[in-house]
Amino acid sequence: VTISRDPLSSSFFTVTGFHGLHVCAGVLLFVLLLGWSFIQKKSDRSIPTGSVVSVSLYWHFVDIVWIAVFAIVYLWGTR
Amino acid sequence: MSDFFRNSWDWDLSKIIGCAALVLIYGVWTRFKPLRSALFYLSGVTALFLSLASPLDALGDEYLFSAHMLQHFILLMVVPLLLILGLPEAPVRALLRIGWIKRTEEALSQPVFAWMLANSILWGWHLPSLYVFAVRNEGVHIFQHLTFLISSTIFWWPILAPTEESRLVSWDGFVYLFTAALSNMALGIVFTFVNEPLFSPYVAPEDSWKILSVIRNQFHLDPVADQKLGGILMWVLGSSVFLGVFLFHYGRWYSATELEGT
Repeated sequence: VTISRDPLSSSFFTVTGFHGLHVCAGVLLFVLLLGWSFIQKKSDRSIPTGSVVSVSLYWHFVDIVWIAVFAIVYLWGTR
Repeated sequence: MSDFFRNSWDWDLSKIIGCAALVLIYGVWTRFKPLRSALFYLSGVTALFLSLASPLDALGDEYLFSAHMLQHFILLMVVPLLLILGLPEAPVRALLRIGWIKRTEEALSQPVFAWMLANSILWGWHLPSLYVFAVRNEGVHIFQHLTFLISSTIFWWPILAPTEESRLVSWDGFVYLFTAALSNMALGIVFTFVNEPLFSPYVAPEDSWKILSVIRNQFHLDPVADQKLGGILMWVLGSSVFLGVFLFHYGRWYSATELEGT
């Protein structure tokens, strides 16, 4: 199955593809936070809580969207 | 405050005549048939009249950026949508058989042109200097609202036009809507996150209706909070409309290609 086969496959790959990009962006942000916190720890400092809160808010946006994506693609779609 | 909502209706003749003319021309042209289209069209004109004549207008002109953003949202994303959805296909098709109308329509609905036009009008009028200029001069303000209505009608046409051959069919429509949604979102984000007042008239309103203390003390809308609220309205309401139209376009595309495949 490829993205250009039919409307269903185009929709499937677009939705899961965009969701995958958001997940990748979230993972990248977490890795950056982790690295930054290690750098700060070396000089006995911590990273601002705001940055952690922002990234976790973003991550929850992604996982709430995942509920919708999963429901539409895998539960509603196979009915 | 209730006095304000009762007395600040603006029964300006130009607004009444403009809306009446829209209804009259439509009535003569289509005889209000089919009824479904007529209902869309009439609710569009009603939204237009309410956004211009109701207390929302006075509130946005003098006191609140957020009220003004709500008004702009109605003018950009509610009125033109309803008016276009209210155009029945057969009479539009008849109009498009006239040479110069067809040529004008084709030129205006070039997607790149329509997109650039609508977005430069949107961003341009929200630059603080131009925005304040419009709020301070009634004539400029009317011109601003007209450019909003015309440019956004041109913008929505390639997606919602009643005649199929005027519409973007597939991926180009998705790109068109998606990028425009991002542009609108970006502007909303700017006003949501800037921490200083950008529009001088709202910092110290003249307060001709004597409601400033209620706004500041009861609703807790200082100029920055009001500006952020305006940004959020633009962002959330605008994105919701884009999402709705996107799904509508998606549904059309899906059923069209599905039919083609079988």
